Amino acid sequence: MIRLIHAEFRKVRTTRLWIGLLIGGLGLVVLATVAVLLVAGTAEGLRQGLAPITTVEDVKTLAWSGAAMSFFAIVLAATMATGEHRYGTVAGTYLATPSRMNVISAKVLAAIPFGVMFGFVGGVVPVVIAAVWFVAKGDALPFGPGVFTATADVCVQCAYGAALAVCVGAAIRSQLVAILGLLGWVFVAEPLATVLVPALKRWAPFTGVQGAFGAPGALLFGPAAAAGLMVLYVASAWYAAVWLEQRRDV
Amino acid sequence: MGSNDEAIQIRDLTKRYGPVAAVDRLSFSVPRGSVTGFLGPNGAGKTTTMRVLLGLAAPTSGEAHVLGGPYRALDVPLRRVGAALEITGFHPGRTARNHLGVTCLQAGLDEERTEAVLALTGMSGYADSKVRGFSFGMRQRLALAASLLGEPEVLVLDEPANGLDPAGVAWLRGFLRRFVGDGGAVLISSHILSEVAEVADRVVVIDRGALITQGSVQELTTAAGEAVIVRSPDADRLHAALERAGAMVVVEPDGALAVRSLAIQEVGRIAAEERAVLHELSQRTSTLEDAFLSLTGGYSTPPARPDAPQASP
Repeated sequence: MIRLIHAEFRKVRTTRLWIGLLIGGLGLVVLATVAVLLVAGTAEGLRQGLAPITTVEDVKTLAWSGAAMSFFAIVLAATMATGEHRYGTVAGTYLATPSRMNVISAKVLAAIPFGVMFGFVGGVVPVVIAAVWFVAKGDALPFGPGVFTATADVCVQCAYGAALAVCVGAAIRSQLVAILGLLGWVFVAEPLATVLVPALKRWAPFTGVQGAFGAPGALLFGPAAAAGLMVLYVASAWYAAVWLEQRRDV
Repeated sequence: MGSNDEAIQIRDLTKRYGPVAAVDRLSFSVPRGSVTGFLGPNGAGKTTTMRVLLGLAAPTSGEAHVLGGPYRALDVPLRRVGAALEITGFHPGRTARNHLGVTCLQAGLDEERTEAVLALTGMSGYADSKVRGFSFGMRQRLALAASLLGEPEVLVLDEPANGLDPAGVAWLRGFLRRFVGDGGAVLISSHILSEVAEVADRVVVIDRGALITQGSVQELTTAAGEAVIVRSPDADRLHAALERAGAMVVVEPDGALAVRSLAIQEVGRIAAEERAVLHELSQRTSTLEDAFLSLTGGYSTPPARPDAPQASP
C-alpha cells in the first residue's frame, strides 16, 4: 500500500494541476484576508458585521476563513480519481495493480495529505498576513493556542473534503459531473436542504461536520459524534466507490 | 487448467453488452514460444477479448486465463504479462519517464527498468518530453516500453504497429521474434496483415465475437487456395454473374474482384458470356490477407457493434 500511495503522490506531483489549484486558492485567501483587514472596524465594515480584530477569537475566525481552500482540495482530489478515466490511464493503473480496492484506498490516503497541505496554507496565510498588517501598524496581533487549533481544524476540514471527493470521483468517473456535482452539493443543494429542513443540518456531510470543530449550534452534533460522522461518511463513500468500481469494465 | 505449454487459454468466453454479444463462446489458446496473430474486422471483439483476458472487463461466462489463472490472481502481474492496449492512455502533462516511473511504483518494479525500456524502444531522447507533444507512433513506443517494464513472459499487444514508422515496424518484428525465441508468448492483434504474416507463427481469426478459424499462417493461406484477380469496368455485373456460378467473390480496395472456387478458365468464360470488358485476368497465390478476406467476407464488413463500452464523457 505504501508504494501505491507513493505512486498517487507522484501522479499528482508530476502534473501542474495541484500547483495551479494551490496558487488559485492562495490568491483567493490573500484577497479575502486583505479585504477583511482593510474593512474590519471601519464604518463600512461595521455595517457588514466586521468588527475590529482585537481578540484571539477574531484571529481564529480569520484563520477559519482559510477553509475556503477546501473547495480547491476537493477539486484536486476529485481529479485524482476522475483524471484516470479522462485520460485513459486507468487501464494502465489496473494492469499494474489489479486490486481496485487497493487503488481507490491509496488514492484516498494520498488525497488526505494534500488536503492537509491546502488546509495548512489556508489556515496559516491569513494569520501571517494579519500579523504583518498589525506589525506595520505598530500593534501586536492577538494570539493564543486557539489560533493553532483553528488552523488544525481547517487542515482536517480540507483533508475530509479531499477524502470524500476522491471517493465521489471514483464512483462517478466523469470529471465534469463529479466536480460540478460536488461543488453544486456544497454551494447549492446542502445549504438549500438545511434551510428548508433544519433538522437535516446535523446529518449534512459538510455542514453537519462543523460540529466536530466546536461550531456552536443546537442543531449540530457534539465534537465526538460529528467527528464520527465524518469518518462514517468517508468510509461509506469509499465502500460505495470500491463496490461500483469492482463491478465495472474499463 | 490447460497444459503448461499454453500461456493463454480462452475457453467458451462470452462477453455481452446488453443484448449484444461482443464475444461469443470464443475458445483458443496461445502456446509459449510463439507469436499468435489475433485477427478480425473492426468490431469483431478482439479488444474486448484482450480486456477480459487482462481483468479490465468481466466475462459474462467462460474463462480467460493467462499463465494458468486469471490475470488478477497473478502476483506482481507486470512481471509475468506485459500489455499494450489501444485503450491505454497517458496523461498529456506527464513526461515519458514519469509515466514509466509511476507504472513501476504501482507495479512494485525497480524504477531502474525505466531507462532500459526507454532505450529499448528508442525513446531515450524523449524521456523528459511531455506526452502531449508525442506523435501517435511515439505513444505506441511508450506503450510498448510500459509493457516491457517487468521483463514479462507473455505480451498482449493490441495493434502495436499502428503509427510506427517502417524502422519501428522492423524493430518490433525483430523484437517479437527474439522474445518468442527466448520462450515468451505473444498475442498480437493487427490490421496490418502483411506484418502479421511476417511475424506470426499462428493466427486466430474471429468475426462477430466468434472463432472463424485458427492455425498456422501456412495452413490458412493454403486453405484459402489461389485467387483469380479480375479487373473490369463492368465489375458489378460480372460480380453478380460469378456469384450466380457459385464463386466466392471479394471486392478489393482498388476495385478488383478476387474470385475463389472457380478456375481462371471458367472466370474467363463467364466474362465472355456476360460480354464484360476485362482489363486484367490473372491468378494469384493467396496471402494471409486473401485468407482473412475470404474468411470474414471482405473489406467492407461494417462494425457489428462497439468493441468497448461507451467512454464516459
